[in-house]
Amino acid sequence: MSFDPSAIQLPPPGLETRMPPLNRREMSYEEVYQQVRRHLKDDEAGTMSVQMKAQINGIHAHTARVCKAG
Amino acid sequence: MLTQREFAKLVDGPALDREIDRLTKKGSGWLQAAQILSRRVNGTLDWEELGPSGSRFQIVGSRGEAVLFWDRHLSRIVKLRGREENGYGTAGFGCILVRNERGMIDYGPGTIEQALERERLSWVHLGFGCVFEDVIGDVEGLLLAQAFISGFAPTEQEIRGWMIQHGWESLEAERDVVVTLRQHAWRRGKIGAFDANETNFIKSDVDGQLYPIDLIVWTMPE
Repeated sequence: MSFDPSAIQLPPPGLETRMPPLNRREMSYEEVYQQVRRHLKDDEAGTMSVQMKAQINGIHAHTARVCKAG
Repeated sequence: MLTQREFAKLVDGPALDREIDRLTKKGSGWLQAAQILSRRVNGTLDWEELGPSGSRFQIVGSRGEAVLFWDRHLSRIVKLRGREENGYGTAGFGCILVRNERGMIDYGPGTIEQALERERLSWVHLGFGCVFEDVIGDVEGLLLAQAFISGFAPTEQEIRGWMIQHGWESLEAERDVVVTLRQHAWRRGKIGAFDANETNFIKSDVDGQLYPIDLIVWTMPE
């Protein structure tokens, strides 16, 4: 398999983007790690988000189905 | 291009071991999550030795399509995507929209080129997305990078309001879309934006605005 990345320009040049503001301060690894865990509902109670389930099911998030399984 | 060995050296191995251990101890479905995380990283990197503690890329999670790393040099998220046989499932390098065998709009596996086209469409139609970082080995893995947004998940209601405000039309009642995807599927003209759920948006704690971080933006299949 071959792949030529030379033509890739992201974001596309000249595009009006909608960039998020800079964070208030420098984030530590631990802070980022905890936010991502919260976002994925990876908490001590053991609930699992659709994104976490999607990787286990080997498919991308089929939300309605996997939500009911939680 | 990065070789598998080159990228492996940049990954914080002890942090990955800790994460796999943490997930394993949770048991049940989390055990599978731990196994998949290990396959995704070690399989993609052909079991090359990972870097020491404090290396540049530190694991922060694994989700539907990607393993997420914190890039401590540039303070951003780096997403590792890869091949089905290495634990990435049928998403391929990232889901796209296709017609399934019943003729309905569904997710299909994307190639590396399609994954990058999806990011381009995300920039064009949502104003935000990932940048291309690198390819690992002979297209064993794809690295995308995205600004890290400090914040939290918005509510479903906030997401609906945001999508409508930006001109998107809900496909919730669209019978042409497989039923499991409809709730979070949107359309604007010929472009679809799918998987618009709370895990794919961040509400910034700086400006209170919503930012889509991982929607599936693709041309609606004919």
